Amino acid sequence: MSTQHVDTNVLGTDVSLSFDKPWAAYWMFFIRVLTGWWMMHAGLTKIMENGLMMPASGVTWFMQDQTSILYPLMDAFSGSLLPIVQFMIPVGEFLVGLGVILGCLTRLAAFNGAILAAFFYFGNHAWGHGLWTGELAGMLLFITIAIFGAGRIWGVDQILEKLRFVQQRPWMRYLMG
Amino acid sequence: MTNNNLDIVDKLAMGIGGGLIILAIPVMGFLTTITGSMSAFYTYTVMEGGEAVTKTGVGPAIPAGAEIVNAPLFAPNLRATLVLLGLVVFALYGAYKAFNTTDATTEHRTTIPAEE
Repeated sequence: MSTQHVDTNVLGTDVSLSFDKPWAAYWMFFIRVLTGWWMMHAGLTKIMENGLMMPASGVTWFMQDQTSILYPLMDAFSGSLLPIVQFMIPVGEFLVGLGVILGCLTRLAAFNGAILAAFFYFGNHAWGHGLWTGELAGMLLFITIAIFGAGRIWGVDQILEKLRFVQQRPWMRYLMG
Repeated sequence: MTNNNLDIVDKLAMGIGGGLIILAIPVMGFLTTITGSMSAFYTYTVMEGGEAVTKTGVGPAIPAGAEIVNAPLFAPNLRATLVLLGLVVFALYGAYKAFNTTDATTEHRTTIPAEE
């Protein structure tokens, strides 16, 4: 077993983490594939059923839900901007899921996955499913994937980050990892 | 190459435990979806109040007389069983490691300053 100790300071408190290195890397890959499939499946089924544009009726009820704390924002998109939402939900879900599974532009994909999951979480009608839902868990998993840069484990980012084009542009590593 | 000293038990747990779960959820899920099942469950119609109502469910919960409209490529309970087996492998691995801790551990220490 190969154990990694990490000593650091968080908000003024000394902390020490201790974990098995190969298992930590393996588990990040495992989380990446399962979380990515959750989002990719949602997008893939919508695309197979309705093409790249969701029917307006499939999103207006969600956008016009006055019980959501995001109602003012979502309502602003329920008029002439609705086609953006109709396109972005199925295609966004599919691309986020695919990117996270393949480990391609992982941080960008995971960030957008967390945004999507946040909208679904706050769109929970009248909190009928409670404050702790699968969408909240999914959002936390996407954030975890982004923090740890899980795409470097058997992912396309492992290759992309070695390209001279990327190494000359350090900011791009915030999209990968 | 970094030597991280994975023994055969680690490799078996990673391969079989995680492999079963990845097979059951993303792999079988993808095959189920591309073969035309938008849901992992059976879709059936049942008469309620004189009207045909479409529902989804798993084998034992489908009422008698219901008409199966769509069956997934893999039975949901088969996939769930594979997930359970994967979790059992992880649990057995955890128990094995807890009772077989050796001193042959390679430790690395990294100190990360909170603010740079």
